[in-house]
Amino acid sequence: MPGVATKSALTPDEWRGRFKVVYQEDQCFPGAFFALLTSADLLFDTKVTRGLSMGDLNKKLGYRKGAATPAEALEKRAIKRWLGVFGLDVQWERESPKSFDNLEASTKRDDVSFSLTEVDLHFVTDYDSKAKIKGPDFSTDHAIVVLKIANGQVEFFDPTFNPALPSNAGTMQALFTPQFVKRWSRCMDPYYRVWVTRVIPLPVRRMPREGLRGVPPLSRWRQKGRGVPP
Amino acid sequence: MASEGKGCPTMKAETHLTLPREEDPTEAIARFVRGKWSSDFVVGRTRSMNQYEREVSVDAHRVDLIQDAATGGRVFAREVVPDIAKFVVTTRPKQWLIMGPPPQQAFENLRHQTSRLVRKSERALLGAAHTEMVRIPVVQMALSPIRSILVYLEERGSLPLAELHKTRKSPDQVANYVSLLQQIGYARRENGSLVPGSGFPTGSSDRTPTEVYDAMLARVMQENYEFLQQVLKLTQMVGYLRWSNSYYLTAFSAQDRVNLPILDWERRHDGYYPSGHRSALEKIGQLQRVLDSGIVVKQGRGVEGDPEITERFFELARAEMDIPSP
Repeated sequence: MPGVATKSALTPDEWRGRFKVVYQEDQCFPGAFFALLTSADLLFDTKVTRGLSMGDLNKKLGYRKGAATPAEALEKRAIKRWLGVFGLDVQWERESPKSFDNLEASTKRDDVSFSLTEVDLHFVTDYDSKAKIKGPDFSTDHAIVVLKIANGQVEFFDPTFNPALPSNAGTMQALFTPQFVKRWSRCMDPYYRVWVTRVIPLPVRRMPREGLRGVPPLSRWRQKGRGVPP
Repeated sequence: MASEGKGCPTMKAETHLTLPREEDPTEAIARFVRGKWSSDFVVGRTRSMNQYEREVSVDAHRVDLIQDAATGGRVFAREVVPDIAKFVVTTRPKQWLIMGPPPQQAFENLRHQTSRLVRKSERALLGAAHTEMVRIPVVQMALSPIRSILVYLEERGSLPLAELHKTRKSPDQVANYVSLLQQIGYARRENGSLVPGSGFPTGSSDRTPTEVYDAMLARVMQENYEFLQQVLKLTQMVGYLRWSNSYYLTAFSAQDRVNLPILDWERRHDGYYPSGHRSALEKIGQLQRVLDSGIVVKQGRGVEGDPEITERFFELARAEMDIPSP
């Protein structure tokens, strides 16, 4: 399992709020967690974020606007139980320093899992020419979910790219690894990584009943209208 | 972390930290506010107060994500709110003593500065859209006593104050109306009557009387909005200004006449004016009247500002907020 939480010498106060993705509306960690759960829906075919707005998730995570960001929000038992209903499990790891190798290794593990990752805000203009960054110049981190690192490319999901269609597969993006590494957040904050994994296997789809509209008959016998085969 | 785990910091009303001399106090403050208060907070200016003391300011860095419904583009508007908290670092023989405000005060300062920005934007918008705003029927109704006085002065030359007292307005309200008109130069007192003041438009013009009175009321609204709202209690117009401002302040942050989805517009209004909560029914009525006035226009799935108002607003907002032109 990727999310075997390593015991860290760091106290919660040392890492709380340091993993940063800030939007006035979406607000810090909940925005990033929404990204994580939206990606889970996308990859695992679950429905966690269906009918759930970013604000709803904020409430669920106990986020207080203007207060320190509750980085540990997903670690609450109630949240774990709630995600368990959808067949998901959430795990986390704190360590320092972070490394690209760790991230790459996490995407190659056997089970399906992915990491919430911190990049410089200018990353968005690397893959989306329509995105603009305005106002005074200061460095800001942005959260994306890395889905896969392979063949010199990084596949990722940016929840701000098309929030109206969070389950749209078109919102998955890919960028060449050197470009990604260039925008990899250089801040020295302790590393905090969250995983979501599917613990209950996807349900096996039942074969649709023949004869219904849109379902092609399987056998020539049935095509001839002879009813049930012997 | 500054003395975290060593049992030194105490968090009472004031923030109080002690730190060994080999550590950097500015860095410790930066880690403290970011880790304990909010990830938006960073260390700003540092100023030496005397040989043993220095002052370290804390700023808030914010990023506002604005979506353009027409182009699908995103604008990440960055903003710095300076000096939301100040720490004083004192040199002691073996340690640094760091004193600062409680976190609640920093958040209160942040809220206060945000609402100041919203007020500045409202003032700029009144300057840019007052003409359109006085045409909103509810605003016209609120300003009708002032309009009646102006029409009377134009038609009859003078208005006996006794006549004003015969209306259903209280003596205080009448005094406030008179004071407002005197202040703007539209009227002055003379022998127990009101007569046109130096600012009262004279001579014939190409404009219709309605246009003339609308222009006069627009000036009243632009120059005395706070008086109208707080003294005359003409609060009916507040909602329209707030809705319009919620769009224009967003456009100003994006530095573009963005096409804002209606849901985002509502969300931003509630964010800028958290106390001004209205029912869904009232909201939709106000939204529609703002759209009817042409201050904000519906375009596709979202709303956009009027091009001329936007241009004037950007110019006035830059002046209000001391931002140089691009």
